[in-house]
Amino acid sequence: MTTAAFSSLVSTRRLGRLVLREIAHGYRGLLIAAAAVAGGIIVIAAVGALARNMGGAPDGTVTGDNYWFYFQGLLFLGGCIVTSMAFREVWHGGGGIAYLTLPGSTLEKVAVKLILTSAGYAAGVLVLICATAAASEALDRLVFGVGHGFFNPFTPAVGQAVVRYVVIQAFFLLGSIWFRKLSFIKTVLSLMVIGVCLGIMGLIAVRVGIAPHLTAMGTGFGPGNGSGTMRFGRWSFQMNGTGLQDLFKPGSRGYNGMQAFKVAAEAVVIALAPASWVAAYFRLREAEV
Amino acid sequence: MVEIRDMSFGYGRKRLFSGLDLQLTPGNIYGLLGKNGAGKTTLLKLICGLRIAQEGTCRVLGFDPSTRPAPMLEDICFIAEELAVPALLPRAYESLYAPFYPRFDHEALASCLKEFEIPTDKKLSELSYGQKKKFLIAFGLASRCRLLLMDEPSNGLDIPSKSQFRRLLARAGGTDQVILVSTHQVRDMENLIDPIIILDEGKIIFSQAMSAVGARLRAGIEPTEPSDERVLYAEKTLGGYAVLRENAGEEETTVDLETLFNAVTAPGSKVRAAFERAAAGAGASGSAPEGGAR
Repeated sequence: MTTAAFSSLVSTRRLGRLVLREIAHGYRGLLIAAAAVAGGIIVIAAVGALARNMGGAPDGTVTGDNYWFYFQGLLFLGGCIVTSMAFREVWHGGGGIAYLTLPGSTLEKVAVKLILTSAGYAAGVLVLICATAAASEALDRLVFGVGHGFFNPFTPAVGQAVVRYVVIQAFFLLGSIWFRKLSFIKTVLSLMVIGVCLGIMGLIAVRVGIAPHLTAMGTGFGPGNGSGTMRFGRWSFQMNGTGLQDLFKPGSRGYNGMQAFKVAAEAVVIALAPASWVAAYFRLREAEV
Repeated sequence: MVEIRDMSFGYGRKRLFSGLDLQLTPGNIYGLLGKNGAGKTTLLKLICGLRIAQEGTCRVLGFDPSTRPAPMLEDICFIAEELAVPALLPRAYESLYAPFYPRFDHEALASCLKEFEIPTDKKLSELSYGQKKKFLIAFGLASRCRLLLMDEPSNGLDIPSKSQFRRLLARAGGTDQVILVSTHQVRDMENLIDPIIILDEGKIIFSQAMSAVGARLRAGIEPTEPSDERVLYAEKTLGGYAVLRENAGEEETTVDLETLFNAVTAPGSKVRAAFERAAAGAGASGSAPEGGAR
């Protein structure tokens, strides 16, 4: 690829301008939403602290990290909703015309939306939760003498949550350019349908693959009918004369197979994130308004 | 600058354009006329890459518009009829969007905004439709893009704004620029758009410079319906009959755009036939048709 061709595809100047444009368009709404969320968290935390204080908790009591719940909710639910609105302007009459004719390549436009709604949003949520937790803790400890524990953004769990969010939001980014209206709901429904379909296919595969080896399945036999029979309520299962729980106990071949399947499934889901970014690129490239 | 060859496009099964050819050369303010549903807006969208041609080729500023490359978009400004402006002050909009256009002229924008009397202390989203349109027209003219596409620019403008718009557009057209104005309001664009392109039933049925129109047709108002064989078109108007005759080397007259449009789009149009005969004659003698658009 020649330098001219590459610069027509990606230019840091244009990327910077697109980022500035996105921030200028969206910062007001996001600030209002952030203020509302922060206010809500502070009030709920204050009510909790007051209740504990009235319940006789001694001064200086710390009741654990309750900001983790808000962080996850804001990151996953809030992030997926925000991501679903990323390309809303494309399908809004004059907005789509203005956006699609804005000097910037399709790659740059997708990259900017992706960066801002994934890493940018996650960073924003971390800052918001840290600031809110600090303010809320200071207030609750000063006024009620009871705290909930500060939010620590430097834990492995936070990093894992951010990585999971980046993977999940990729599907919502694709949904936001794929669906013209109600993209959040439609993406959720699509994921549910895909999940149900995969579940049915998995069940059929298991049924076809396992049925010949299933030596006992029913309600009329118990441990006396074979060693280690696995029971689900009234139902019991055996494969080749062995109970299912023995087949999948740690260290067994079945267990190792399940672990390998889990890793493979996670790898597939992670690989679907970049696939969704690529699909979003092509969808925007072919968008006509 | 714009070259369309044998282009086809349709919505679903309905064919809108079939084998469309068009060539636009710099230094002109083209007027794109057509009935409702003729495809004027669609043609503008195809040129700037908002719609993708199904067959044929379309080259704009040397690029394929369907890929919407950034260097092409830096030199195209499309002022659509559907407006979308953010909730920003005009100055903020300028500082945010002007850097996207390498040849943006900030002084020209200030001068246009002053002439259009756009309030600079109100957010764009709070302006009236006409004011929003005037702001976007001013921004488009100041962008100094080589290709400026306008879809019904005079719709929603008040009477003084229409004259201001005409003045600004006449001043703006540079020798390296193509301005393509799609309009129904031919009276607003009279003496400004030249050449004229008329789109009908998916084809460009007429594309001529106004000088060629004046040389070929003679316009007049007559009190009674004319019946001589030189009459190409006549329609009843308030003061009598607007008549178009073939100009047999007489003094040139100004042809009213509305009458010309009606004459060209009339079934079995003799005006169109006259121009086609002339083009065939010019083709046979080796000279190109006038106007730059086919």
